[in-house]
Amino acid sequence: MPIPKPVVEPTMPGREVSGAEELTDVRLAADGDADAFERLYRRHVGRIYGLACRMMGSERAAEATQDVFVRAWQKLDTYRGEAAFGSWLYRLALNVMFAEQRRLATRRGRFAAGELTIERASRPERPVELVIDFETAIERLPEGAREVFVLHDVEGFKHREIAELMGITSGTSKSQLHRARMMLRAHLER
Amino acid sequence: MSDAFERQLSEYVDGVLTHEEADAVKAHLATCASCAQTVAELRKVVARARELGERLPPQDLWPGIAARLSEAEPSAPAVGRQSTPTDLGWRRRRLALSIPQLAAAAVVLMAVSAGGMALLDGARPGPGGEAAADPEAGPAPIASLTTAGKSDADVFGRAIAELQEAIFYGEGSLDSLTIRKLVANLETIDRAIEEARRALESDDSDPYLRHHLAEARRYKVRFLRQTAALVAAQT
Repeated sequence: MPIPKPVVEPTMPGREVSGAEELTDVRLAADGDADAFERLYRRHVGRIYGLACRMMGSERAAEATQDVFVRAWQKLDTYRGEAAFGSWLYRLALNVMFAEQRRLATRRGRFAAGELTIERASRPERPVELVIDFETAIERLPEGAREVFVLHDVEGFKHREIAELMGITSGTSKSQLHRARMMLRAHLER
Repeated sequence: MSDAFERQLSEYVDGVLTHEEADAVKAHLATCASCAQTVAELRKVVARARELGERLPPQDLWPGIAARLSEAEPSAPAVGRQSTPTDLGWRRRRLALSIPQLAAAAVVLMAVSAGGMALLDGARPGPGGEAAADPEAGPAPIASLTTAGKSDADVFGRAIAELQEAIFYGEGSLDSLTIRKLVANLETIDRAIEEARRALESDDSDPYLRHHLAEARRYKVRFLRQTAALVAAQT
């Protein structure tokens, strides 16, 4: 499944924004300036949406991205400017997405370490596709393997950090990563 | 391919095996074409993953976010200054309602509540504000709050919002400690409403969730009504 072309471009694509400029927008947004918050959104939506697609699946990515930014708006008071706003937002995004995953897991009565979610298992069979792109292949990984793969190979986290984030052991993280990579070998673009 | 080695190939690719383990895998690869092929493919997967960049949503998500921001005001910023509890919540909506206006808002809420309560349950209010209750029909979808009966729901929502603002911005109506407690309680109620609303979005056929959402909204109205009565009693 090809990735749809975005119809919306960032406000200032490719433009580097200084830390001071970013901090100004954070302060304005925290004072209720929605325009400043929109600028923050435009600068960071690509990374957050990309993470959401890979962590939650593209079907839920838009909603998850909206949840992240609404949550960020509510939590701006906890940002103290010690780290880059993008790093703070990214960590918040992970928390929101993991919380949502846990909520869905609880609600559907499946175990977090399950091989396939009930949601996925109960979907009608997808038509067989001989070739799917790499992004789609990631989305179709079993949940645990997908999350570890995205965090480790795409986002650059260490197994120790992933274990802490996901509440699993480093050994499980390593196993899931290997499993994901082995499954993805078949979907490398030729 | 040897299973004993196969499980170590990712760690070998990542360079996190001990020297002894890495040497053993390396020696194995020299004699096992299958594992050597796997290592080459794993390296391609890792390289491909590192190439993945940002993705932009196919549709602009900002309008949806902006619509939700008005229901989720940010709390006071920590950047540059200390927040104070009384800053929380609705501090940016500058209203300067007088005590008589506040009392009027309370009356509006009380008057609309009879019909509003029915709306919360998904039923349409009948003439005179009475709910057109149909015990056989069961609870109507919560969507009726935003589709069927939209205008009534809007009126009701506006009444709540106005009273909420009046309570917190009525001049000298309540002391700061009371406001702080009210804000904390309202935030808890709003969280419950938001959680129920979001759960319903993923499964709008769940009668428990519909009931839970209606109950949470009803609780909010009761809470605001009691607060309004408290404020009115002080006038």
